[in-house]
Amino acid sequence: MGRYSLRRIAEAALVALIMSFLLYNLISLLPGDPVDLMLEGNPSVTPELVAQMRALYGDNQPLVQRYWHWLGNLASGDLGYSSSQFKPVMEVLGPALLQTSKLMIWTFVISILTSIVLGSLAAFKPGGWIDNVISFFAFACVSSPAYWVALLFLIVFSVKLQWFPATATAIDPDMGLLKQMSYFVLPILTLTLFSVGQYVRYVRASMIETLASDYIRTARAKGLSRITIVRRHALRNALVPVVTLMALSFGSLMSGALVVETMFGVQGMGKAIYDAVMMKDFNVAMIGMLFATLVTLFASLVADLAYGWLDPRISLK
Amino acid sequence: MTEQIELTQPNSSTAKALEVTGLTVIARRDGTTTEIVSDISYAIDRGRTLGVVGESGCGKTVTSLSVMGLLPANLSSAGSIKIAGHEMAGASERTWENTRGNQVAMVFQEPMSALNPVMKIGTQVAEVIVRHRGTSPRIAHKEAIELLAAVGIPSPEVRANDYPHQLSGGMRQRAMIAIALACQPVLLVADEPTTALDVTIQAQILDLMVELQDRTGTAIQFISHNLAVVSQIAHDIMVMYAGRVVEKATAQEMFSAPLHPYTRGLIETLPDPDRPVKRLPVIPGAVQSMAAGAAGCRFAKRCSLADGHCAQVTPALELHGSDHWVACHKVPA
Amino acid sequence: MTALLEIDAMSVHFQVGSGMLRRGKTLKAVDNVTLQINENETVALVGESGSGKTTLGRVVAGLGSTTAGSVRFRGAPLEASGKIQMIFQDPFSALDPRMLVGDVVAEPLRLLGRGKARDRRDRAREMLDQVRLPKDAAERFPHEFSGGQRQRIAIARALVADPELIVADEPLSALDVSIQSQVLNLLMDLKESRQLALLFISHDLAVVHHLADRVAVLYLGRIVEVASRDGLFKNPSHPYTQALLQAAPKIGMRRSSQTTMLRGEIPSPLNPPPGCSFHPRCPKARDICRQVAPALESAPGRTGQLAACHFKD
Repeated sequence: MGRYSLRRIAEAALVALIMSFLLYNLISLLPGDPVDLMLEGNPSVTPELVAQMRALYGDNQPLVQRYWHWLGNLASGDLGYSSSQFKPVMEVLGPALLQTSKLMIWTFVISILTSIVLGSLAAFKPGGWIDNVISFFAFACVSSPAYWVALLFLIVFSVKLQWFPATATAIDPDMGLLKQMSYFVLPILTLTLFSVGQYVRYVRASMIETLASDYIRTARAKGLSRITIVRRHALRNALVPVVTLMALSFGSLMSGALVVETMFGVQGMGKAIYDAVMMKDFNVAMIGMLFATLVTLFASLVADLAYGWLDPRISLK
Repeated sequence: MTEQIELTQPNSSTAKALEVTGLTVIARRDGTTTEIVSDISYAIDRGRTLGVVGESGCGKTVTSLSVMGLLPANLSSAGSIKIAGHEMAGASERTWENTRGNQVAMVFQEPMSALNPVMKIGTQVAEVIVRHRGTSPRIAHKEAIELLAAVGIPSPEVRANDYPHQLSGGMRQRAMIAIALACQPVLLVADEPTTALDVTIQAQILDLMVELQDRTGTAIQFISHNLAVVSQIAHDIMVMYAGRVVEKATAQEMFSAPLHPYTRGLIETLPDPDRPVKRLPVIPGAVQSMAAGAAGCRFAKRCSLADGHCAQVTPALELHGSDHWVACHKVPA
Repeated sequence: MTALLEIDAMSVHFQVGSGMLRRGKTLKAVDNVTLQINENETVALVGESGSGKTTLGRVVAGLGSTTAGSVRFRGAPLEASGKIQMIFQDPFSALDPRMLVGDVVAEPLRLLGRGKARDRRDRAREMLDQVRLPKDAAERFPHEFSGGQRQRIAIARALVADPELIVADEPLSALDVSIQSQVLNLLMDLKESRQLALLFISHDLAVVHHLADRVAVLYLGRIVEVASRDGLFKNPSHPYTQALLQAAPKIGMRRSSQTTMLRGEIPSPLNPPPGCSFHPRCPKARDICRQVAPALESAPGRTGQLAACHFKD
């Protein structure tokens, strides 16, 4: 297990480095003087600092050098200042990250559990009525664009039924926890629906294949009940390929979250990055995008490591 | 569990390990029905091995699955199946679940795929013990190690923590036998258990099965397409063709005086270093599947002795001598 | 007897498990094998998993390359001349399911550039007739035929280019018992009528006894015994050969529980035991067997029979 994991972690770190370089390049294409962009919003600007920055980050410096200095800064914890909001980048992105995390993590957990249950139920009798209902449902979920579903929910649940509030911008930290959570129900539900639609099909296909295996027949020959067989024998084997797919899609959850955040007024990362780019907020945009990249990379790393952990044939190579 | 059948009393019933009467299995697909097994009857005494021999399409695997209650959903069966005297035909799935792995157990052909690849060997053996005897996992694990030792796996306490892919084919098959015999079943159904193994390993496994049978008194239903392999382990032999039993006798009788033309053809068609021939006798043609209810001997088309009568009237299994059954019109009574 | 095929000190090694950072291990599939096949002769290669018999057969048929040593056909290196053809074990995957049977059989001629399309078609039909398949078989697809019939198609394909040597890798193993003898008889008839040499790979000693002139026994890539058919079966010299013969199932003999003389598992060819690779399982093994690999030499008092054992009979 050790050698495989270490190699994967090293590879992930390398990719992260390369990605950060590419991102830096990309942002450098923004019109404007990079030094100005970086220093705007910094309350403690002095001519010496400007000169220092110009020496480090000025246009006349080679790109690689600028990138290297910037990386060094990052490593020491200096993320810079937001030029649009005149605050340190962390103060801008921090709360946004919190909101997006709430959305993503809840969505992820609920959709995984739901799709495992639904997918397994559907796999029990392929072609049966339960399977047909679940498969149709999954198909509908995947086919419906997130913004359309969001609108539907808003109209039905917020406007007509008045069960849930519509815009999360109205959250007040002084509200009770339950009231705060109620603002998230609809966005989470919207995102979950789409994820479930995807995952159910993976789980179903994998479970059908697993249930047809010889070792399941052996398990039946042992006299184990169907539930035990699914729980103890089929599930782990069926989930091995599915888990990796799920972990990989965690990264894309972030972009799906952007649409939903916009629809429901959640002040999340997606919105923050978008605003930053529009306002030429160099630092926030960089850090935000870098963060999104790292999350995706991390998710894929976890997927690989999980695969190695779940299937002993891989790790003991 | 109230439905559990207690077996291990010393003076247990004199019922045979297995008694099958009139078993018929039908496949229904797209409106056509095919008889895969037609009205077969046989029995296995405790402590004896019945070899079931036949080629593809003879129904031997389906017969074994019926005896285990493991028929796939598209097959339906009729007839009586008594395991240790208890009627299992039409039993609920619950009853079957209590019986499988407990009174009757099965060993399959491909040991690689028959074991769960992500579960340790020891756990897979212990699982049966926990399921049917309700012992704690810890005790079951200890028993599992003893079982692995009993089937000849060296360093069983180490091997118990291995995964299937870390074991060789022969070892895996031994583990499968350990799983099957864990609860001391009355009947062990072995479906081509050595076909996928090398010759020298096959010999070891056959020896193991004979030894375990001597020790535990388990009856064995040993299925194979290979007459020579079956003859190494069987007390009695049953030859099947196209879903029917064509001959049933002790192994000795079967080989010294085979009566059915198919059996004789099978024996003669195999090359034998002790009886070299220039040209091997051949059974012409090939096996065909049968529509349900079709009458007549199914071997007639390939039989050199067949006549019109054979093609129209299904021969019944008749007794010749003390314990030799043949289904053929052409065998003199 | 003219030598048709000469295998001289041939080895086939594979590198397994090497990646960007690792060197991987060497799998010695075939190790220093010397064997000769004469015109018209049937030589059987016998062995179990890891013996290397399939690899050896494939190299002879031109489907693999050697790591060391040489294979010569009539004194010249192997080339794609159609003189050596192969029949495989699984008749269900050996024929392209999207080609008509006639095209399947004619393909070797097409690849060798012999004759025009019409001639090739006629020849294919002729071959199908020789393997006793119906005339209209050429216009049908492989899946319309049974296993035994497909194997005949494979035989027809192997014979269409008029080869001198056929390599047959377990051609009967996937067939039903009652069909095996049909195909076996056919193979022998054709061999006889066309004066073919045959390299027959099998684990089934009964079949080997029926058709082989000479037998070579392989264990973990090395030849452990070579002998005439009768010499091997009546007087096996190497302990492995003796064990194989004893383990082979014979009709009408019930085993007692102490019959097997061979303990242990077949080692992996990735980790062959040192010295004589058979020593961990051998009832005769002594110290020298662990250290020195025995050479293939004449068995005492037996002509033409070679065995690689320090204590051969």
